[in-house]
Amino acid sequence: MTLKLDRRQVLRSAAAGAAAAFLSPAGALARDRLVIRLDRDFQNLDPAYRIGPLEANILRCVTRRLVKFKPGVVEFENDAAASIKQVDDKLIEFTLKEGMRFQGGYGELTADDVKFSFERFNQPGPGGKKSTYAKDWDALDGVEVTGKYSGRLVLKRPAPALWLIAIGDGSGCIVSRKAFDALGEKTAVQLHGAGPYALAEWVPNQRILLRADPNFVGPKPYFQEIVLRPIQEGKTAQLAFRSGEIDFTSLEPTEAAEMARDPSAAIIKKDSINYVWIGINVEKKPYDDIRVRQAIQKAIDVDQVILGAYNGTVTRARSLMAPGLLGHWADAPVVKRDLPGAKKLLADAGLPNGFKAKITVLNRPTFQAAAQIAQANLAEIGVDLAIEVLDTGTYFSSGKGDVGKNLELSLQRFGGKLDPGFQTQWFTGEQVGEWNWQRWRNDEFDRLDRIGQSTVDTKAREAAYIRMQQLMADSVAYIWLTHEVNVFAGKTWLRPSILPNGDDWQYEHFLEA
Amino acid sequence: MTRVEPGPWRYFASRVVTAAFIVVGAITLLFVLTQLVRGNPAEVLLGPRATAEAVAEFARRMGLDLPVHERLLQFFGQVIRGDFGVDIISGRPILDMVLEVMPFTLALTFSAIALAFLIGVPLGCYAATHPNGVGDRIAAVLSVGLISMPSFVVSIYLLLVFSIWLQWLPVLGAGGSGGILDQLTRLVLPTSALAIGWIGYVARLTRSSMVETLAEPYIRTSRAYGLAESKIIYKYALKNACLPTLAVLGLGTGRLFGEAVFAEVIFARPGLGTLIYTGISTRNYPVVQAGVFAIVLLFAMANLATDMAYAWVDPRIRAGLRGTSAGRR
Amino acid sequence: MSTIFSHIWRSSTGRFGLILAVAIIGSAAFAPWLAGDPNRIDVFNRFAGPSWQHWMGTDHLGRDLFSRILHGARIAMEVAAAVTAIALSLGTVLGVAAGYGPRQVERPILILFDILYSFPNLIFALALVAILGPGLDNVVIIVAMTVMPHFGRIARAQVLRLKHAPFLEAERVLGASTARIVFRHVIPNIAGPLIVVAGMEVPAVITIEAGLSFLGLGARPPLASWGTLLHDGYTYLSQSGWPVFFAGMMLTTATLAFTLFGEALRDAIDPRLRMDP
Repeated sequence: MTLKLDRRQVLRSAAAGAAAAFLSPAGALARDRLVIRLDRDFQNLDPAYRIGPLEANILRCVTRRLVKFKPGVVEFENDAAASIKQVDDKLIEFTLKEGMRFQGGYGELTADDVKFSFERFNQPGPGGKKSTYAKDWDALDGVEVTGKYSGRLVLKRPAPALWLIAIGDGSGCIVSRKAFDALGEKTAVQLHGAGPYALAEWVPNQRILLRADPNFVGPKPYFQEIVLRPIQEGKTAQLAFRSGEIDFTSLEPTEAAEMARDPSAAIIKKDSINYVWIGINVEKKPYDDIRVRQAIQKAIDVDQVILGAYNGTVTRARSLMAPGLLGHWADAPVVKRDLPGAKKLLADAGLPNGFKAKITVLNRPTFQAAAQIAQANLAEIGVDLAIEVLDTGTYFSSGKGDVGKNLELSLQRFGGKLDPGFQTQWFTGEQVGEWNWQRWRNDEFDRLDRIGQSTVDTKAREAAYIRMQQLMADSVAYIWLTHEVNVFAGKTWLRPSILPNGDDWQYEHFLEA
Repeated sequence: MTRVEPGPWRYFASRVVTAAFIVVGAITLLFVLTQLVRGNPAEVLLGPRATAEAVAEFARRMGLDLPVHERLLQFFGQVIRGDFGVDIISGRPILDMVLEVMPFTLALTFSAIALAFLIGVPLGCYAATHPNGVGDRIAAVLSVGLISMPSFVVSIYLLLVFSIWLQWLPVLGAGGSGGILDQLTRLVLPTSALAIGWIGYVARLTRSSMVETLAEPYIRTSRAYGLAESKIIYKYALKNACLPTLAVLGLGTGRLFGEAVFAEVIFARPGLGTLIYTGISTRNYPVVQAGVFAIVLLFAMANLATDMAYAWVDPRIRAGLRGTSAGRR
Repeated sequence: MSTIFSHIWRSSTGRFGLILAVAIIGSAAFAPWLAGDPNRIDVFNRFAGPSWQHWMGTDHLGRDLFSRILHGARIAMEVAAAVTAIALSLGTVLGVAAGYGPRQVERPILILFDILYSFPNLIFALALVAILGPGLDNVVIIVAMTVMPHFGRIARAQVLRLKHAPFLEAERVLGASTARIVFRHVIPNIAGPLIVVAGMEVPAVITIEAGLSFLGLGARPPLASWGTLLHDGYTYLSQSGWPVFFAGMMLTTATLAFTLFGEALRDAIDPRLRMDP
């Protein structure tokens, strides 16, 4: 199959592909076990209710999708599909390979399982809960099963992002209808797919064991066993790496220089398309006054944050879309630090003596350091910023529902995906109380978001996404910090396989050099 | 304590009753404290993550709709059945989580005590028989200097020296997968961090009671009979000189459990301390509560065991002639 | 007073402890004049080693460690003072009530003390943090609750010793009110031992506060508690060992100083109070 990708993306992909070039395993002492550090334990392995890339990475190697990414590049190859094609803007036809069996004795993978896996995203789940990733399949009208091994995806509207976001990614993982019927809510922690690895053991907060599934039809993965070890603290992970306890870990950019001194470590750096920003809740007083938000924006020294918290290892972001993405806004303004201006704005807003503010951050050292710099910056205009440091679970619920109404400033980081529509979707009015923690609503933004999701014309999409970023800039609810850089440390003998966004790891393609 | 012919069993029973009373009291106190929380305790104690169902379930478990005394009874019922509820984060029974990590904490604290005694007692004996000698000086420095250094500072210093400077590894985690040898290796630093402060203390105690014992008439008599000095010291004097040291053992576990929290967090080991700590930082009160119970129970048992051992060594106690001087820390 | 002082001064360890303690209290009191702004960030100068400009180097945000450590002394001393004041008054009230009051009052108080003793110090503090929430104000209350029984027990023991002293019997016969006896005679007479306990509890208080702050449950950024400094230093241990080294040393020195001073104070006022550490 072919795929319409932006030219720059293809170039990037090719470069990444070369970097992750296939090297045949050499040496008599082949390893069959690999230990990878995760920064937390998984929380939900149901594709529709997964939390983030961490779950998706497990899902993608335990289950199959119709198509999957080749090692390290944004290019598809068939996975469960024997053939698949986009018949027209609103119809995709597929036939499945035969003889693919689900682990745990849940039988053969059929077109009915595909139907079940995709359609459940738009149906209420346990307790009427809506899927976190419902938007991925929003364009899907339904899956028609035309035979045991064949079917068609019928779309409500043209959906240019569907391949990248849904079919080929975590939301395209095919699960067993039988297994879900039998297991009920246990599917959050028990996963049976037809992929190269099986989830063999889970000791909460200690390890997740992936073992190559002997019944897997297709090229066997290199490592017999992959152990995923949740270690929250970056520093602990760093020490564990040095002690040989783990073979691969992501690093905070600030840790890279230190790790590079370890002769057993190969450091891999990749520009990322994620986005980190300080958000301001526009509903909460006094932030509902745009002058207060402008004052905060003018007071915070983003360059200092990048130097102090990120050790100067990343570049400053100016808007939502990272360079290289469709819809990257090259002319986005850079707000200069302006303390007198900030003070004047505060005075105009009736707060000449400043006020007490709060920033909510996740308990990562980089974020805490960034918050402390913002704290020192804001102190200069009389704003007394308290820092609320939360663990993962608490943090990710702190902006949701009614609790989110009390959020003030928050330091946020979202993972990007290769289609711009994935980035914008979290900022719509509908997402207030979910992921739109700034609670900023704009009808034009929402309308453009819908247009972006359903237009095939690349030029029109680009224009829409740039306009949306202009609207975000006008709201002054977002102080962009960085698109991050992904840094990994792997043992020198390891050839990891990572997609260009840096978050998507392909465990089944990890090799030994 | 009972006065009329108590006998060993009577003594044992009275100590068990006291220990049980203490544990019951501790549970009650924790219960009372949770009642002081303002607002809806279920919401406050579970934190913002909790779903409405989780809050409702926790409120039901706490019996928020019942009168206070019934709540307490219900609470005791749950504790006695070992039913601490289900963790809202992982969805697992909290009792399982506690039992899973308990061995790690026990291994750490017991090895720390063992190490402190293995080094402290001989050091104390040496110091007693060689006053103002090298051992005496070492014991003096250790006891003053290192008791003042909080164990978490010791832990961080050890980490700095052994893993950052010397890069002698591995140091972190419990080493679940690497077999017994690996697990023991990883015990070395945290154990030392906990034991160092105690070595000097044990040595000092052993020394002073040894000096006292050596002045007793029966030792002088033995000397007069020409018994070998080493035999006198290690066979006769040591047993009696150990008594006060033994008393420390039980009380020491309490302090050790507290210090173990730091050692576990710093060396990234699983254990009751880490469990309580993550429970607090994730605002997961039910887990904290279960972890604290476990430690109170272990502490009470350790004290009980000390009393027993003390009585076994010194028959005057089980006869009710002398009480053990229980204190804390 | 002067005899107590000279008694402390005569013992070499007491003198050493006293000098150190005074130095720490002094640097706490005069921190703003002795060192610069502890919160001034200088991102171009992170993890600097000791130099003339920064005597102890800088931390992960380029803040001056010397200044942060001196200001940390401030927090430690403030917490120690606040905790001691609360624990002393609460412990005295309960202890005197238990010792002087009727059995119905004595029993529940003794039971409360026994129960409090059944928790290891730090574990009890952690349980309270879980209920009250983190923060320095709560830490003060929590640590006060944790060390309070020591004061209570000593107060009670002292009252029991005093209860049947002839001069109190005489007062009672003369018809003095209980309040008068307690405030005019009992409390002044048990003050000495209680002050000793207060002195001896300071190291424990400092350590628990630093410990809770180290776990991120006490002082909040940008406040420079020794525990927070250790925590930050631990986080960036692989980049620089200086912050941990100096903060740890300072904490140890303070603990040592107040231990030695406390012991000397005890020996000077009331040697019978010797107890196991």
